[in-house]
Amino acid sequence: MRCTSPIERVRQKTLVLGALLGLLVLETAAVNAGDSAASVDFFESKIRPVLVKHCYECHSSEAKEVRGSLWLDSSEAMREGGDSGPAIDPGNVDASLLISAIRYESSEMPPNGKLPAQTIADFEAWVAAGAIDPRDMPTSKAVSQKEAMQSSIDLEAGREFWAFQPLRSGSTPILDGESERGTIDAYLLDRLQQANIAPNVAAGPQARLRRLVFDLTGLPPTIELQDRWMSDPSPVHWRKIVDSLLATPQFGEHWGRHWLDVARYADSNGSDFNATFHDAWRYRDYVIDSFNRDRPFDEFVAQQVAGDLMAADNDQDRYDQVVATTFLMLGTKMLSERDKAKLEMDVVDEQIDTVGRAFLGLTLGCARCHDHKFDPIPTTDYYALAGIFRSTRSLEGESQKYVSTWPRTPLPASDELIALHDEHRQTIRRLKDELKEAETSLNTHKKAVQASLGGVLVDDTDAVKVGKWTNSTNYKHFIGTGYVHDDNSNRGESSIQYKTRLEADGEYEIRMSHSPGANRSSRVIVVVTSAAGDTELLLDQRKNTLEPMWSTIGKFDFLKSSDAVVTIHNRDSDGYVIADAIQFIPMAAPAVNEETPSQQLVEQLATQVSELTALVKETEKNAPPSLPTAMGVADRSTDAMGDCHVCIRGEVENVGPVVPRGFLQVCSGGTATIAQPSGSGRLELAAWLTDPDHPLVSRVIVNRVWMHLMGEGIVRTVDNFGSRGEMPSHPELLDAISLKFVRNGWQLKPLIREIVCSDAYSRSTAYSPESVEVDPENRLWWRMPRRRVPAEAIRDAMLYAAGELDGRPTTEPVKAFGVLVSGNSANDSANDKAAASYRRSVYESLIRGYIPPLMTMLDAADPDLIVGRRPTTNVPSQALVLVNSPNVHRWAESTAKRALSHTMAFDERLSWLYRTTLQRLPSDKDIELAHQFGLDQLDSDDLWREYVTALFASTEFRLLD
Amino acid sequence: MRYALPQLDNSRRSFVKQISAMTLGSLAISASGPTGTASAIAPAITSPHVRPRAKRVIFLFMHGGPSHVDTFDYKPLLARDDGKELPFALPPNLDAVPTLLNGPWKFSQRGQSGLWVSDLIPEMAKVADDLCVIRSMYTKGQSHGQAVGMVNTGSDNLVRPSVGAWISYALGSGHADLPAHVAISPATAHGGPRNYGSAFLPAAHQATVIGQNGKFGDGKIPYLSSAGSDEQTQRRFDLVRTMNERHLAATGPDSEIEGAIDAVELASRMRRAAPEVFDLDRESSATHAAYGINGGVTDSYGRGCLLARRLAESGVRFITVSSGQVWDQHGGLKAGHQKNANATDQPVAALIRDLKQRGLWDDTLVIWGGEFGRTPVVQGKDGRDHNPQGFSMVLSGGGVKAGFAYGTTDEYGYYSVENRVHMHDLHATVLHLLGIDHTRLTYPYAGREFRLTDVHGRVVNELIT
Repeated sequence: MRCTSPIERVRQKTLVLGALLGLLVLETAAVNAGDSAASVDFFESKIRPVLVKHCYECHSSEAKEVRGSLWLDSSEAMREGGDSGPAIDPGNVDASLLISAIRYESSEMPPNGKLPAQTIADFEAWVAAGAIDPRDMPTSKAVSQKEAMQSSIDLEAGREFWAFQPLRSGSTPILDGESERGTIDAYLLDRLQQANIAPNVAAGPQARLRRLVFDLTGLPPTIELQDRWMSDPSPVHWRKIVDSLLATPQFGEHWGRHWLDVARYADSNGSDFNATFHDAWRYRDYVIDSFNRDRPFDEFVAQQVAGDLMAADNDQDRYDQVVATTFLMLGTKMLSERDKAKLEMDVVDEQIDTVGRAFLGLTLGCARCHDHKFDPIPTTDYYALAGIFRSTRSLEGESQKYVSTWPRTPLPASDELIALHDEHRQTIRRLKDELKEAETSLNTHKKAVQASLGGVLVDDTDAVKVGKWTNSTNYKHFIGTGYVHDDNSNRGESSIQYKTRLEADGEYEIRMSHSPGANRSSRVIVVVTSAAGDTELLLDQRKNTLEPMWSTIGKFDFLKSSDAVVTIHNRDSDGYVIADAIQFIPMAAPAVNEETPSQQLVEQLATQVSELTALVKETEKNAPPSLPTAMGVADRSTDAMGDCHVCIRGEVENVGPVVPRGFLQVCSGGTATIAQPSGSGRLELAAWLTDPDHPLVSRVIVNRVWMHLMGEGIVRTVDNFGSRGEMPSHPELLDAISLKFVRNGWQLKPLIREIVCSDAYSRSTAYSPESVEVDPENRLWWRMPRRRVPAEAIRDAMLYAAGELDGRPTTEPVKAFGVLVSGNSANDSANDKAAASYRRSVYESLIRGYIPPLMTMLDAADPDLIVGRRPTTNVPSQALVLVNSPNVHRWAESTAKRALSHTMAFDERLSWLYRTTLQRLPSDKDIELAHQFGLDQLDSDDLWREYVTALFASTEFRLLD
Repeated sequence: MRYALPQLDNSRRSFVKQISAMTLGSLAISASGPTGTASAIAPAITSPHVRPRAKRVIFLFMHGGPSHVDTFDYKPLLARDDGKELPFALPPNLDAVPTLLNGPWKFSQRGQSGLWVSDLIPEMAKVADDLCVIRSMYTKGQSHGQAVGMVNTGSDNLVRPSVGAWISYALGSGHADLPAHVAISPATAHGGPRNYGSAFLPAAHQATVIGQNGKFGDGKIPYLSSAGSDEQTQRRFDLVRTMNERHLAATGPDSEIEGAIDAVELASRMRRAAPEVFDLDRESSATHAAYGINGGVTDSYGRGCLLARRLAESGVRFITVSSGQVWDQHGGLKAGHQKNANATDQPVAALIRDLKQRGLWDDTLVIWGGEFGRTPVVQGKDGRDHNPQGFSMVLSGGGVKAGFAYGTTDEYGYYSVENRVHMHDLHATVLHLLGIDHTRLTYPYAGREFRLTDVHGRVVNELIT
């Protein structure tokens, strides 16, 4: 691994040098250090070729596997050496391990043959003369960004690009400037007037309310709110409604979801190993809560980047801050990558890409391999950031061989919860003790009962085994210390023989104890050697004929003068062959009373054991909520932190210069380098991102908010503010509202309020041929674009109409899953485990690879990607899932039932249905259609369900007019 | 997804223009037209870059990684040195030990061509003269996840569109009422949907999925039918259309509503057209027998292959038939590989024969292979570990040479050494056979143009007739 800090490499290199040192023999060599040996020429002609030819294969970045973590391909690496000392000590031949190694004194290097004497002498001369090595020229040491950046990028010219310019406060056009709601309309109207376009008038009040409530809460307005609003559709009332909607918890659920798109939120890893993200939901809740409490956006950004490093006043703050860093962890990772150095850099890359696009609206990934081709981002900027994330711990340990996992950070927990856990642990322990006691007692009594039957018992431990038999105690009923089985393998090769001498001649019943089960053999060959000779029988071990553990083999005559033998073979078996004990019961013995007190006791004990077993299971299932841990990041240990090498062409092994940690130069006012990182550098990165003068962070979030409410961003490529993105349609407006946003403390609710209270937001979506002629793409917002309701809100609205929406949040939504949500075996599927639920969509678990078809077809964000703006597709499969999915049918049926039970009058039923699904009254045409479809007929329940299904699948249901 | 329109200029240039004008998301809903002419998926490339040899691809994905040294890559030295030490270094991160393991299957030369094929796959051996074996494949990824990503998406670590999605995007569907990209019984493991997904390409290019994890299941498109009578379903579709048309009438021209109206119409037509294509009972009992559709071990894969042929015949562009993640014999090589071969060998051979008989073979490219091969050295007692360093993949039909082998691995079959073919090269070649220059099939995302082969890929002309 080469993208490491020098500090770390020192640590890695201890192995070989340690070994070299241990055998070091000091010897003085008279070396004539001639002048020539102190020249670069000497190194180039005598030393470097030898290193390349004989050493690099195992000791360079080109090595397939670096032996003993020793690199000899840079002067820095040679001089650093390991803990035990440097590989060379310039000027001191005998103290140089490299020399003693090639002399075959300490170790024997190179291993395939000692170098010629002349070559060794050259090395001695070279070390004696100071080990001149051009590879230690400043260019290969840590270089300043300026030096490293021998790129074609002209940063000064780059800064001229609009997005890297500071926010400008212009003067609001028209005179309306002083009132709060005037800013937006003033800028928009100004441009519309210039273009000579008359904007649309306000939409009707029904449409406006529907638009507003969906936009702010992701839910339709209730009939009650519709009534209230329609009775007074005034601007004052509008503001009142806006304020009350902003104060509902549903606001954060809806707007939090917008951010979760950008954060590529999911409850599992996806990719090669679909590991469960058990703690991701805490981040989901943190995001929702942040929107609800209107956490200042700069704080929100800083916490997600470096919350774990920030001071906290109390447990709640600490909890929030640590959980916030889950943001950096949510990406999908190739956890089974065996090359861990590559995996680490891939994770770093994903984090840089996410930070770049989520906060800066820039694609930084390109710069991993070369200078950004379109934006002024040199590759050194990328590695300045990479150093920060390389110094951050995102992976830790393995969940199984080669499969990486991540650290779990303990979170503050309440005393009550800790006490609950202690109590729970104690309860479990007590129950298990009781269970053990009952089991022991049961076994003892069982044996007593068996003994009372008389006869002779031969256990597997006393039997003669041939072939492979495996001990087991898996099944709880057995004689002695356990039983054996054939592992369902080596068919025909294993047998077990039970032999005894019986005390009297006569007839005996032979019983075998074995555990039953579906995977057992139904054809176990039993050979009984009795007075009559050998008898071969077949025993079905899938069940017992005598509960709980015995099967009768048959009755046979035995003589006391010869051995009574029972042999079990696994030839022809079709499952596991089990062998526990064989019992010979004399038929002459007095009949056993089935109801001996002892037998009753056994049954009581057996009941007790099964009850206790169930109780333990139940108690374990009802464990208190897990002690909270976060899927958060942390700084690595100080010796593992450091600057990162450039990886040339992005290849981990291809090491370039070290770049000090820092940020993007093009949008940094002063220096972009962190002079003295306080840790990984994330704190400094957070401070850089939230600098009020940062040209991108505020513009990007304000533009996203604008897009969610106005259909398109002012910069329509919301995730790309670079030169390949689009230019803002209204740069002055974007700057004006962004500046106001920052000055007002980075709070989103006032911004949202300002937008939804503007005239522009209220405009109708009506088509105007004249305006389309001039501005076909509606870049000037002469109308409100018709917008798609997000997938979650479409589903929620169906559940709402059905009266089945459960608004409660979920906690630990993927608790039922183990390490993986879906194993990599051929039969495993997360679908089987995901229970149906009617929570709001944002609270449903989001398993990568198993996003419900309804969601994906309606363009829900793909958590494998960072989605600032969702695509809007119309595909046949979307129509199919809406029209034919059993879920939609069920919700339609419930909705129809509600409509029918609402009232007996057809008109009122239809009004209720339209106001519940489309938030408007049915038109005459709608009423006519309903009649045509037969909704007014008797016994039309099925038709109502069909009609509602069609409404759910209609464009009007999923579009905001 | 876009709907093809007679008046729409579908050239690449205008396509790009549209993208930049409309922003990516709204691509899928571009203009609508007379629904009678709409195709399920319109092509992005309307005039081929190079002469197309194939119109469609069937990828027989042997998920898990079948052993090349036990199928197509004959290594006499492996038999000679069985149990001896591998005379060179193992690649890193392996659990195998450097002890050579000869497999239990005999190799012999087959057909006129004399291609070496082992007894593990006797049926494929019989059609050896129709096969084009690449013996010098290599790829990225020592673990399944990466290598499966490589073969299916061209990326071992990043989320990228699948090969089928790229081809669907490039060529569109060849059938008015069917999707262009179908995945039959794909595994849920190792990326699952990502391996047939569209990533940042429009969603319509992701595969329609039939069955799962190597199991054919009911063989139906999800949500194509629903409870209730066919009439009832049709009435429901008609009602939705009426509602949407009324909505459109009220709003005036609106591309989203128009797109939705088309989508409902297409779905309705697909609902009527697809069951016929998907109905395997329309095939003769002789055909069923040939594919091994008999309720036995070949039944599931046989159905997959037969459906693949029917889809190919109907114009679907890219069909994957996955064996499920079963070829991963780290132990029990003999029993495991035998079981997998028993399940797939006959259907694969039957598919090739069937395509030939129907005249489809010439323009259908069949690809057989896993995400990597297996080590010639032993893991555990009788297993082989993953080997992305060198392995075989087999092509057939679609403009490639027949009865032909290309490239070599070293004398034990470990590393690809001569005429090496990287997975990117295979992808470039597949696109080339379809008439597409892999450097020109691009899509703008996140500020730059992406392609299936990233910055790599060489068309292996030596394979082409």
